[in-house]
Amino acid sequence: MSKERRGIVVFHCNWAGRHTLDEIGRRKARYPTDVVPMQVSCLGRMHAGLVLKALEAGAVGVLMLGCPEDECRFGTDGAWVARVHAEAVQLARLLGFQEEQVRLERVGPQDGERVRRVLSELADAASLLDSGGDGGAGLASGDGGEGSAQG
Amino acid sequence: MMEDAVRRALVEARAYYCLSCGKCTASCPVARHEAGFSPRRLVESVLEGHAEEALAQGAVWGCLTCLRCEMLCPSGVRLGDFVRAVRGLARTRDLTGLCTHGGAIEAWMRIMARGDHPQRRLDWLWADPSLEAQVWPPLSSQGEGDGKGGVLFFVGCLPYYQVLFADLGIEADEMARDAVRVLNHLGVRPVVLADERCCGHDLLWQGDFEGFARLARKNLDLIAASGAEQVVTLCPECYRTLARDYPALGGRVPPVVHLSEWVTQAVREGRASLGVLPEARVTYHDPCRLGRHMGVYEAPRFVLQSMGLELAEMAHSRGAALCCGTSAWTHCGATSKAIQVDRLGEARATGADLLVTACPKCQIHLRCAMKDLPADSEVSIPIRDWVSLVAAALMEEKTVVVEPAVAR
Repeated sequence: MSKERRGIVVFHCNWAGRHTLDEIGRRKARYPTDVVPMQVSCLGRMHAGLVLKALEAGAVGVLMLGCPEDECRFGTDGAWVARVHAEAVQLARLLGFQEEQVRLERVGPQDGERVRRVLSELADAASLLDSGGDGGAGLASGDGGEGSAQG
Repeated sequence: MMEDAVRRALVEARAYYCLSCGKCTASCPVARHEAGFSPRRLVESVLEGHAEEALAQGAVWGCLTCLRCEMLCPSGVRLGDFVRAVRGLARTRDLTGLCTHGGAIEAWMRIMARGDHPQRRLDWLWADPSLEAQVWPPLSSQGEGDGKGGVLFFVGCLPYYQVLFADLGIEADEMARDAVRVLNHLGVRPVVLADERCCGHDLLWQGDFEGFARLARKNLDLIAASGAEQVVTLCPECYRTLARDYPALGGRVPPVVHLSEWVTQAVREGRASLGVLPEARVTYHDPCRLGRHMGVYEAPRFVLQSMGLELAEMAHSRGAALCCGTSAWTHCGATSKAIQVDRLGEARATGADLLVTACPKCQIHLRCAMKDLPADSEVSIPIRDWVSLVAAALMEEKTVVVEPAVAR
């Protein structure tokens, strides 16, 4: 992630999260170019620290992408993921970020279009934040959009 | 270059005076649980020219910098300073201690050091409209001048701990409010900084001197701009850092006191009286930074006794107190837990109804240790900060003992 083009970090699980990103790629649907997918085995392995590290590294948006609550392969992520997301949002808010910059989406493999929309919203929010225009506009335009879920 | 840095660390810590007597290792709380851990051997191996090997040892990060060893060293070797300097050298080799809490705390410290987002850190203050405080820079609704001549309350990371450690039942925001309540009771309307940064204590003691200096410079600028002529802290680590480490950087800081000293002085001079609390037997845990680092042992005890509490001392107290088991958010593990359980056991052995601390981090660490134990464990004991007790007396609370509220 260069300073000029600050990205959107997507922490996605091995299962529905990964397949949903894959689905966007297979459809050759356009989505913002500066998406950095980070694979975790399950969102149940996440900690608010990971989200803050992404923000520290310059991310303008963080998306936690995992299975629907009752379909977690490990059966553990429901309450924990909600808690980690809530902590990350509250800490990001204290640090002066917008709450919308840290999102949690639980998806099935057919939800590619929804995720693509969320990524665009994060990029749009980024362009609003970047009033100085250092790359936000590029993110928001969504050009060159065949980002790969394989990162 | 490395050799020069090592020599400087040895000279500044007076390590050449080491007699190899081993009192440091014998008194070290870590060495009691880790047979291979030896502050003496760490110093010795660097003295003998094996700095590179020493940097890679866990001992560099396992040390709590609690300064128990320094209290007993017959040669006055400054082991805490030595370990801090060696950690800085280790970082130049990309060696770091074990990360804790998912790296969240280091991340927020570095985001604050970058400082491109004004924080929203004052929700704790807005939650109670009866609190009298002056925000710097002034809010348009306050429409006031500056904090010139004022008393600055340096809040520290309490609002962040409230979020990250909510599951431990720590009421960090309430502690900040209690501090303002106590200051208000003393007739002080403190200045609080809207964009105060972490003091940098933990980056400093992790050996990240550059990150520390960035945070320090931002806070120094903010404090200077506020015009405050006195700084009061609640967190002993902020206290040490602002009073000692900022001036060591060349920063000009107004006089810094710990709130317990401020309250003690006010009571002794008859300028304030504290309420009386319901009868209870309490024991007080000396935080390393407040006690051994800054020499404040009596003020919190005086405050507790002034409110009619019976104070029972633990087997190790004041200069000999056991550390809470972890420092600088690094290298927490089985040894930390064992030290915490030892300390909680000492607290229970006093027969006290309540363990009182003066450091939010000690409270976090001791509560964390209890979380891992059964609820009826023989070392479980309710914990509160001393300032919460002073506020409880002012608000005439009916009991001082609050059961440990730990999510399991």
